[in-house]
Amino acid sequence: MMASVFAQFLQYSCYAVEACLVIAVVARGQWRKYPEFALFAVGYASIDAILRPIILFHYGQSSLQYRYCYWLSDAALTLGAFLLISLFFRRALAKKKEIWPLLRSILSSVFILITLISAFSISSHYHHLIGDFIVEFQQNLYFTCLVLNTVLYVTLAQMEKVDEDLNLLVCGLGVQFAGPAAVMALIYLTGIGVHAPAFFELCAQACTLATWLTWLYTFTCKRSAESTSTEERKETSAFAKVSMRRLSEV
Amino acid sequence: MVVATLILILSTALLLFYLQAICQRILQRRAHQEFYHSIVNANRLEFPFVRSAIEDYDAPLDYSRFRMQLKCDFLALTYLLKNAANSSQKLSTDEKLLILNFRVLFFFLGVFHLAGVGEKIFMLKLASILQYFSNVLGERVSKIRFGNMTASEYLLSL
Repeated sequence: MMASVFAQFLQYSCYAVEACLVIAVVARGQWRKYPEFALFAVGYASIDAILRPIILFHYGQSSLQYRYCYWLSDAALTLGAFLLISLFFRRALAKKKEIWPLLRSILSSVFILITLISAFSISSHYHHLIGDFIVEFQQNLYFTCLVLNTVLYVTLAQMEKVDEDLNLLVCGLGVQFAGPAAVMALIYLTGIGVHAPAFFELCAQACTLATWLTWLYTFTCKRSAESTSTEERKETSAFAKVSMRRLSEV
Repeated sequence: MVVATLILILSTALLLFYLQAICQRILQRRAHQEFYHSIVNANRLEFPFVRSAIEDYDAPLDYSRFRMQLKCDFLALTYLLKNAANSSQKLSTDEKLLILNFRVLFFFLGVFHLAGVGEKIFMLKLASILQYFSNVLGERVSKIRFGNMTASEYLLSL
């Protein structure tokens, strides 16, 4: 009962944050700076806050239609996120002429390969989709995206000119993939029990909320470019030096 | 089975890493404003000294002393954040998140001290959180102009 109330609270919080983010991205004109992200956010919010609730309302949570809708849309969103990470790679490395052409062909090939494998796996298991198969399939897909996202994070960390917004967006994506991948692996290892779907839903909702809150923070809390005077900086470092002297005397 | 175990371990580690990275990024967004110097000087906070001792001078780690200094700065700053130039006397969401982060890191500092590894990294992370708090406080105070006012003039202007 308590878990159900908490899951509902998380779910409605997610809807609210998704709506706020979409409004913030549009109203603040951030969709011009990050068009690929804006498209992904709108697509995700539409599926999560409109399509799924409609199916849920019509067929009920335990219905096969809702489960198929949930898992198929989840796979589509994960592939969309993979594409988004690839576009973030392009944004980060497009100016590096020596790396980007090779990376572009690798990313394109991997994306096409993953899409084909996913389509083939789902179509061949379509009539027995719900169960061990989808858990293992989504676990692998999430983990693939997580690895790619981590490579992107490391690449961004090594770059001289840092795009702070992009860094936070990538961190958010990391949470979005890492949480569900870990939970799915745990469910796969322990077996799909009675409480497994509720447990997965709770963790996935919490990770989604954390991700969207991070993205909302990225676009709404902007830093100001004020800085302090050099005199104050000198004063602080002088204080630190006095303390250091005290330490050396001890 | 082996693959699932690997995914479980790596994903959990990466989840914690990304959560930590988000906290660090939030800190960095404010870090370059450098409002914190006035707060550090006025309250004689000691975290810049701890950071300086670890980063610049590579001094031997006086664990118990540094730990106490960071803890005292944390207590002073959280009190000031709540009560100084804050009419609502409430902490914002990211401040609460970072206080939680500080407490978790402080706990792990003790654990890693027992293991004898990684203390410096934890102390630097704790110092960066304290710098963020000082920055927030400094920014807040800098918006209130009462430098050339008397106490009664300031109160009348509210």
